[in-house]
Amino acid sequence: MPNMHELETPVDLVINEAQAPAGTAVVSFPVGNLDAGNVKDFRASIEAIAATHDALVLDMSRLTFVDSSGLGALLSCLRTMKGKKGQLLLFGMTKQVRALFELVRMHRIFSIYNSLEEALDELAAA
Amino acid sequence: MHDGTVSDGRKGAEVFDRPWEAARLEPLRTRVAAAAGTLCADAADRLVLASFEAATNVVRHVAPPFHDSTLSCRIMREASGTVVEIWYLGEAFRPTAEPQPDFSGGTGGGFGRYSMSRAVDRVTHESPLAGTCCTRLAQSGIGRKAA
Repeated sequence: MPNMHELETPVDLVINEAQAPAGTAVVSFPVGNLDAGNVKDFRASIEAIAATHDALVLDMSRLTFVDSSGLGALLSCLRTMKGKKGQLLLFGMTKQVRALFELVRMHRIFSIYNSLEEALDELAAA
Repeated sequence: MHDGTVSDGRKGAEVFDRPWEAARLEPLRTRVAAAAGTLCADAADRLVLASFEAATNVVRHVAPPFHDSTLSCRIMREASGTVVEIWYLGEAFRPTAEPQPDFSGGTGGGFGRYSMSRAVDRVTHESPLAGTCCTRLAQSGIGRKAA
């Protein structure tokens, strides 16, 4: 039985630097899931972006599913940014993803904001 | 590999196979979500998460016995809630220690079992025959587990 969902979904992250201060990248997910099926692509993409920016602001508004692989990749990215005294901020989480973060207590580890404006205000104040 | 609904002799049971590949497990979420529709939304979302984690744990930690090995998913709607079983052939993935997630981001590991254990009411690992293994997830419609 053909199934359109069986295609692999490489993560071509969308970077927007125009909205943000110098050295900051606002990064959006083009797909609705960050999981074991695409996490390798995400890791490669986000680490490349992290290497050239002081702050990353991740737009989570399109993500409706994140699994433990995705959480691990986000934690790894947070570790990378903290290691170079940079920042990783998340905003626009869907209800489902927010519930997962709370389930595994990740909401206490990440800086999470409701909107891009809130996240950028926090960056400006830092 | 069959991908349709078949009867396994139990009323209301739905059975389907998925390839032994992480990138091809997404339909499992859709099927579990549809079957979990009688649970409250939060419990259903957590059952979907736990089912996906159980399947990816097998794919990541167990060597497939054959080149075309599959995972078999069985979903049962019972009076008390919904049960999902992930069946596979091979070495049993039977963790002994409590899940210890690495919150430092160093390894990124341990979150699969940790999130499974927090997401559903009960997780059991069974091996009714040598080389035949099952991870069983039971979820009632009651709200979130206590933190």
